[in-house]
Amino acid sequence: MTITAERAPDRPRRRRGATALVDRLSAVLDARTSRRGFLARTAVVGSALAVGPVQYLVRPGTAYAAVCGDDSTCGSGYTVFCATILNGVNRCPPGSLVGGWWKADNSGFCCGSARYYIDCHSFCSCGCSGGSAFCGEGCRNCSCGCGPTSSCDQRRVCCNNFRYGQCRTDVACTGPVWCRVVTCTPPWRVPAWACSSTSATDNNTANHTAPGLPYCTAIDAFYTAVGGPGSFLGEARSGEIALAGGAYTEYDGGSIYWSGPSGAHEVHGRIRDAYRAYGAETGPLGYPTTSERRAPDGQGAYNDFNGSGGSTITWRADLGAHPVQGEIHNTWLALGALSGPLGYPTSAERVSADQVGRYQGFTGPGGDASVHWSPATGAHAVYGLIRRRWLALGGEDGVLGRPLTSELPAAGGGRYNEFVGRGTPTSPQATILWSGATGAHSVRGPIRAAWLAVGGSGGRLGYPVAEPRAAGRGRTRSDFQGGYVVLERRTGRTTITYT
Amino acid sequence: MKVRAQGMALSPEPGWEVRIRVRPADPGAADGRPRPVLHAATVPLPEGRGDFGGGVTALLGPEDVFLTLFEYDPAASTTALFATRGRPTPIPPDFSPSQLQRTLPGQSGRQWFFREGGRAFCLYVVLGSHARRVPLVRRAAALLATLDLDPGDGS
Repeated sequence: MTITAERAPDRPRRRRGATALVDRLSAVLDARTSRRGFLARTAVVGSALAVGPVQYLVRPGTAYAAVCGDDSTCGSGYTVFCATILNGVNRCPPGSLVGGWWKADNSGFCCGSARYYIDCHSFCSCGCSGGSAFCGEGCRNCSCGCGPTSSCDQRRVCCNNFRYGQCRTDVACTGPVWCRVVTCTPPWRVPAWACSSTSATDNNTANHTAPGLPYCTAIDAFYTAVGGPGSFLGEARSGEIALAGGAYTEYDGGSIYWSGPSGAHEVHGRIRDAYRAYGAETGPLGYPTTSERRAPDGQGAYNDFNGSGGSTITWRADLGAHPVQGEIHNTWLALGALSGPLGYPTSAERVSADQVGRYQGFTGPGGDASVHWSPATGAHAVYGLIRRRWLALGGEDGVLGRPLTSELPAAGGGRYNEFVGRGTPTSPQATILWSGATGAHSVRGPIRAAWLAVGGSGGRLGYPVAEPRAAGRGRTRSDFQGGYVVLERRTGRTTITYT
Repeated sequence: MKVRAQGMALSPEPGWEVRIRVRPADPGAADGRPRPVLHAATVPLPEGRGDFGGGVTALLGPEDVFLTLFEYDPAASTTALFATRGRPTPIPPDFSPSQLQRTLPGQSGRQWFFREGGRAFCLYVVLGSHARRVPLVRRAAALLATLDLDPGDGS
């Protein structure tokens, strides 16, 4: 079997220097053809050289031992790592159970903490005999052999009838150690393994490793910090897989993504589904910059991402998971995000009818909010009764067009949004004002200009109390708290009457 | 001379080195109580040995024997793995080259899980030569015949 698990190209550790050293010394290596020949054959040359290039050059011994580390041959008598026989996946194989564990202290693999070795034993389809704790070869789920010859871990597979004995002690009869898992999480904190904390130590195995095993990477350190296989993430389903500019590892309950600028963060559940649907790290959302966080209202959750200048996926059970990105995201953030008036997105971003702009719905106050963006107008939020009035007037495609501001406080205690109307983004021609006393009504065109000229909502006319209406032939009238304005449409002349 | 500590005692003949040490509990472990491990070998016991013979078994010659008596949390004594009451008496047919924590050429081993006096143990014996298992097992059995285990206090 060939090891196919990839490693991150740009590790958050010290390997770049080591790799550079290897590059510089490649001419020297060329002269040592037997080792070069071996290296060319092995599938793990990159990571092995990164681990110990100087050791390889200066230490006498076989090329295999120098590159592959301590006790890594079949003849060493130790058991293979599960990651070696499971394509980089560091977990017990199906048909096995955890039979016990030991630890090596102060391990570099675990960033200086203890490293735990978990023995995975084959289940038995028959019983044990003669007082032995191990069943015969005919009723095991694996056969005794050696690790793959193309690998740096050729240790024994399913051969050693030995049990450490702290886990699954309800099972008295097992097969041999099939393979071993390594973790930086104490095994008694992983409920699925059913281990006691009875401690066994063997520091002689401290340097045992295999391609695909984590070596104090940012992802592994993060995984350990959240509880490793005992956490909601559960056990690994993949090795650490290299991505453009980062890496990720899959677990039963989620994924951890890492990149240099964003750090390591987990994504899981519906948010992960939405993230994947949008192309994950290669899509507009980029890498996560937070792990999943609880929403301020306690009802939902979210992750932030670094794509599109910053983006977020939120989730709530009744709404599902939706991304917010780009300028719509900026507007949402400026208004307080989940703590603000817009609340949760109710859909993904959608294309406007003119095929130019974008918009997105939000829960808002009473389920009534949206943010609208176009290259000319930017992104602005409309919500509540102002939005209802705007939609009643046709929304983006109506007489008011796209919003040019989000909702703002108006003189006199009300609120307003400005809209393009029949004007331009630099010269808005429509406003919707709302107050508790008057409701939400639009003011637009020359009537709006006349109203603004006498102080707008803070002037004697105050707030509009109705929508503009026909007032005889060729005339339009808007009523306000303090009077009305009549427009002679042919001439554009307006007349203000105070009442 | 009798070697006694932690409720374990052995009276080794000359040629044996016996050590009993307390394994520190891991920080944060629910069962925070340290447990002992007894090591006996016919070779010098290195300081950096593993609890089940790591660093020792590679030193065994064909006339050598190593054994570990490893104590578990007493709660384990009620489980299926530790159902056997009382310590075992090793006999040569028990041993096999495949019953080793680390399989080294020529060697042979066997482990027994058992309970005694409310305590849970694993006895693990490694012979330097499977071919010479008859005299080597006799030698190990003679040492184990001197083993005293105090009853546990339930903690």
